[in-house]
Amino acid sequence: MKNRWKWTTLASALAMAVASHAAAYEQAPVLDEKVSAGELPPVDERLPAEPLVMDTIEGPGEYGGTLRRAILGGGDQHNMVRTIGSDNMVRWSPDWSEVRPNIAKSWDVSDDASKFTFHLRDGMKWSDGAPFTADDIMFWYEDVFTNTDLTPNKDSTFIGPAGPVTVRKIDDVTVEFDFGAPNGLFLQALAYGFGYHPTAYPKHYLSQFHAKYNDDLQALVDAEPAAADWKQLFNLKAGPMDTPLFWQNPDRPTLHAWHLTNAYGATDRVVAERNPYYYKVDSEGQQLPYMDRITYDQVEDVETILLKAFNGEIDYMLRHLGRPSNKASLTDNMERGKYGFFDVGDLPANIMILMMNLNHTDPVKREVINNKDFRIGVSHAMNRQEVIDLLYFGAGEAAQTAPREGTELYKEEYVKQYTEYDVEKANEYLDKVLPEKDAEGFRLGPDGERFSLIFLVADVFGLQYPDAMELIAGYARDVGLDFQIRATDRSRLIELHTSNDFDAYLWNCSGGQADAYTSPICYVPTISNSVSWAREWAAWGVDPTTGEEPPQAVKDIFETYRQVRAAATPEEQKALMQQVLDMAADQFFTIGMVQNDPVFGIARNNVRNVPDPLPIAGQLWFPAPYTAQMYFEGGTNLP
Amino acid sequence: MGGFILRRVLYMIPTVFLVSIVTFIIIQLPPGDYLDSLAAEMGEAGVDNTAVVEQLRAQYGLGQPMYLQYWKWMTGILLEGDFGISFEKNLPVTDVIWDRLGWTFGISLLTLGFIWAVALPIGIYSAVCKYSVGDYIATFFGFVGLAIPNFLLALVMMYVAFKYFGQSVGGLVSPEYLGEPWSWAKFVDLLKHIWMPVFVVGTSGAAALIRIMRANLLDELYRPYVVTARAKGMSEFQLLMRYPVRVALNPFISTIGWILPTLVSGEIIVAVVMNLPTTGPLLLRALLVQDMYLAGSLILIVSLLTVIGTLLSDVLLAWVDPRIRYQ
Amino acid sequence: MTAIDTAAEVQAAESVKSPALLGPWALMWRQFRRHKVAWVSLYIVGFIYFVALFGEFLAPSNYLDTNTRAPFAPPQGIHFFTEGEDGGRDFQLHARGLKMEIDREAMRRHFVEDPSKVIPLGFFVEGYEYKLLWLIPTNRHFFGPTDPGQRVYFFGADRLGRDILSRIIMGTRISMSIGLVGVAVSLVVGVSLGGISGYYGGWIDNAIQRLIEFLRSIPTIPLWMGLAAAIPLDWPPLRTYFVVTLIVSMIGWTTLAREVRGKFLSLRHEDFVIAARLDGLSDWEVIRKHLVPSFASHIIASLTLAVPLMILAETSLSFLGIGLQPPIVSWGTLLKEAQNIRTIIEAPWLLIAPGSVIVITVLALNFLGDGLRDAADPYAH
Repeated sequence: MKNRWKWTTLASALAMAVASHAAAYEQAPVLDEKVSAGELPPVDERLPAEPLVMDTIEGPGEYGGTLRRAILGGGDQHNMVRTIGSDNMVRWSPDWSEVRPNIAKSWDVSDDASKFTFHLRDGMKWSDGAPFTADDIMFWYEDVFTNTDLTPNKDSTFIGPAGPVTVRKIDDVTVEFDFGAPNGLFLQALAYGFGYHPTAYPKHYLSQFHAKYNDDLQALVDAEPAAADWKQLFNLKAGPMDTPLFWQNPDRPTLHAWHLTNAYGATDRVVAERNPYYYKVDSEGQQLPYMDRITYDQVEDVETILLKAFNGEIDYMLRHLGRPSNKASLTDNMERGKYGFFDVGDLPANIMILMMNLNHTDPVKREVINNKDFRIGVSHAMNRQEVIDLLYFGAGEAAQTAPREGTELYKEEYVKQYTEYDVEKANEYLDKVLPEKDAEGFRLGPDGERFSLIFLVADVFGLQYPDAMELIAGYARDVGLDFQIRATDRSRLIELHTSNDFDAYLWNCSGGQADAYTSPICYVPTISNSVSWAREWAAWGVDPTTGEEPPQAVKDIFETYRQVRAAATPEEQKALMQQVLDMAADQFFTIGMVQNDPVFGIARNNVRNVPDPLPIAGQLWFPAPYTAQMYFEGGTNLP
Repeated sequence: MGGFILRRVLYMIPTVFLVSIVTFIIIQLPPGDYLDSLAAEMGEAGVDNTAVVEQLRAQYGLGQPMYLQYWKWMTGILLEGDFGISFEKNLPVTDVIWDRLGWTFGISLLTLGFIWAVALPIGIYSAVCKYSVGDYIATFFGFVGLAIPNFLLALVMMYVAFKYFGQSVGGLVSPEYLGEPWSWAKFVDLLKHIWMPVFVVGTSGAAALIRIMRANLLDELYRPYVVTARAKGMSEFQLLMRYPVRVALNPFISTIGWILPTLVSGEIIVAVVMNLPTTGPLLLRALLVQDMYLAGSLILIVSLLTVIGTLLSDVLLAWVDPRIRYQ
Repeated sequence: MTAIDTAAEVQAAESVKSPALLGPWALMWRQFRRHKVAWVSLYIVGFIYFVALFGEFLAPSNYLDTNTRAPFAPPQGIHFFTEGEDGGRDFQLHARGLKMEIDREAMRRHFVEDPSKVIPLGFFVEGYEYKLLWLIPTNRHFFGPTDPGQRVYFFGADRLGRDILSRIIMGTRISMSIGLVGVAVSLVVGVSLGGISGYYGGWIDNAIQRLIEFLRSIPTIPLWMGLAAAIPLDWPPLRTYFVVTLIVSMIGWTTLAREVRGKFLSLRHEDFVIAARLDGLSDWEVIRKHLVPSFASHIIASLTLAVPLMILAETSLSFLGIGLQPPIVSWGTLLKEAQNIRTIIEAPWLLIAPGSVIVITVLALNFLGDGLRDAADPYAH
């Protein structure tokens, strides 16, 4: 399976692009009729002058078929984001190794990496046929991004070390992003999910909802029951892609391969039809996407998705299914459902970290938790191998929160320090911090009371966290620590940790691969929805008038990471990032438990051009830029 | 009779008012709000975007004091029939719920029919043949239905339907009919699916009614008028049907009122497991993510219908049995 | 008790001439004995509460102990004879050891019984230490492997290799006490409000009826979810458990109050009540001496029937993932853990074992309640 890569080199792809430009492009048979009826212009007019010649994984495919998936009734917009939505200015290669052209056909970077000039495709069109030009990007920049009413908080992708980006239009097909200071990580960040902003705001459609362009806006506001003023109306029509809002407005034109025909959440089935103006072709000049449409059947329970997969009602999916606990039953039903597995490189820095609140509001708990010996003691008390064997069938490694083996930032000591299960060593370290014990054998805090920590735990990611927490509390009991478990739902957990009202909790952490540069949330204190281990320090890091001043060692980490972002060359970035990781490993902020093995997804037997292995990560919204080149062998779904 | 009905209708008003307040409090009880849930979702998807959440906080008018929100909601409902906005769907609540309420009541009515069809004959049989083997078997199965938690039964039945009948599981129609216009084939397909939730929800309600029927009938069967009628040579079947069963039916009429909330509650869990397009999953989801106007409106409507149902059954009872009017 | 005393007095006064004269309680007892299924159910319910009380003694192993060598281990049978070295058969209670094979590709474990590996079983064996009835420290267990280092899973093991039998036994205590406490709360609230409502009538009756109507018209699940979500997370598990019990009992008391009210209403104008009142007895005396004894049996029956409803309500709460916190286990949490396709396919015993325990308990309680109810009207026929 792993040798299915057949990468046509970039050079030959370019050669073919030139060759095929002379010949007429081909389109899906379903579109022929519309063209001959005059409903659509011919394919050559719909495509830009220089379409993107897509590097297909196995080879050119054939048209037809419906990609069937399932989606949860609410809160599952990432299902669509990751199959359709993430198609940005630039994209990551399928193996997550380099940034390649996508909507932008090419770019120039200034020597100090502060200015980025993007060349767009001449004649490119939105999904409704209107032209896509530099003006659309300028609309985003001038009327959305810099409008403090519409964007009170700016996305970090577009904030450089010296502040927010300045965008200039050079001509209709050229724009310049200027950060005023070196921002060497910008292209990477733009290729990740949140880089979608500049190319998601069609001016010709959205300007009617913008006060600057429409004087009679109040009439539209009055007609919309869900909006009270024009800003709310604009947000409704131009919602962020990672919220349900984006997927509830099928009228908004996009540059995606498929375009929604109905709103998510309103019906039993969300249907996305092919975008006849999509700008990508294969090496034979066939316009992508190959598949006619994608359907998302709404279900209420993950178990139903599993049964649908057994029944062959799912063509390609990893979300909700790719969990170790489902592997056996999915294997049993392979023949009946006519599907196979592919590997998914969902490999974060750690899939299970114990985060204890280093900025605890209770001085006693804070003092103990901030003592590194305490954290080392807890780390040695954990029987990681047992957790891996019991919960994940041995598929994983005992590890701290660190870049993965095989990535360029990997160092063995980051991963392996204090991971050895050794109760004696654990007691030795803990005795330095909490030597006294009560009658039941539990350690007493410096205040003479039993030292207990309440661990919040939510059943997320299908990783059996509540089970893991019971094991962890047992290991803690063995060394005289009282870890109490509170199972809760994820939104309550998030609410508590983002308001700094918690002792400790269990979550995962990104930054295990190339995303260590752009998402170092476990190495540098960061304001985040997912991890909070030093929220006050993180606030100080953003704005020293807020939060709480951290110790010098943490300040040094902030400063070094600032240098990473400003570095112009990959070599400098790497050297500086390594320093950040060295310092973070020395600080030992969080206690990591497990680095997992790759997970899996399923694809029905005639689905071709499936990336295998498929890397995904919190920021890397795959397979979206590559869904368009997947196809059904035989041009239709298996029966 | 008119006075009785008027009095009962007047009593409804404070009840409904109380229900609306309590509903609003219930949905506000859990800490946090919809945006915390949205942030949580993003967090679980591995997406870290604190900027967006802050941007939306103003969008939904969250953060106003509770009584103000209640006042806005209530006046909207009373003056304009506007139940507010669903945060998650960004649609007026009224656009979202009516279809689903229709299915909920459809399934609830079918279930009610199923329960009556099962409970009535079994109840009569086990009262007439008290302590017979048949009585034990009938009550045994009635109780087994009560004793198996609904969600368990639903999942097991779904698995059996999938494993041994090769049926497409979840939902009320097969995937190929989703979004299609209604046709005979789609209707047949619907019938193939709908019996499962009806059966699952119905089993838990039937036991209670069997017991009520049996107990009431037992009370009646030994009354002097029955003995007299029997002595006069009336056939046993006629005798049974004409008087005791009719009297024993009173509690059945009064079930119309309270069985509705029971069915709706029971249906929530079953609908989630069986993936039905009813209010259940919508309500559960709305409660979980604190989509408060949606959740509040659903609870309010169901409660209101229950109150009306109770009224109806009281009126029916009073009509059937005049003694009740003067109590 | 008063009734029995009266019966005794009457008997004494009438001398031994009329042996057929029995007090109402004695009559009821006789009636109840005739209801054989209820009689059997009484024993079953008694046994279940015995299990709840002596849980640690009966559990073969600690319900929290995990085992890497036994996740999803199937139930192990009890065998009686071993093959001796000379080929003869010796009587020896034992279980056969399990051999685990891991299929890493499919992420599955296979277990094969190994007849050559004999794990001797015995009664009153040594095991983990606990306090019997929360008082007496001991390490004796009723039945289990004679070697404390060995583990046997009579009902199989869950995903962490924990013994399901022990978990069910410990869950019995929680589930059955939720039923009892819930019923006690319902009893106090229901009888007092129902009694007030029925005896006095008028506006008090009206107000209480409206309250009941109001509580019944709110669908229970949203009510539970709202209340359960409002429980602060820093509360210890035990306090959370009591709050859950209170939440569950909210459904019970309205039914009881209605029944009590109905009884009061119908009895209020009975001749014996009027006679008692004319005799100059106060309201309280009338209620205590005449009304309560005449429907106490009905209340007992209703309470018995309310217990299974509480148990089932708790399973629903657990299904929604609200309420009880680990390490507390109940039948509901056990079922919730088994509520997935994987379990049905790979480890059906996780579903069958707690499921059948719930079904048996609910059945027994219902039959018991039915028997009591039928017996409650000893003069009926």
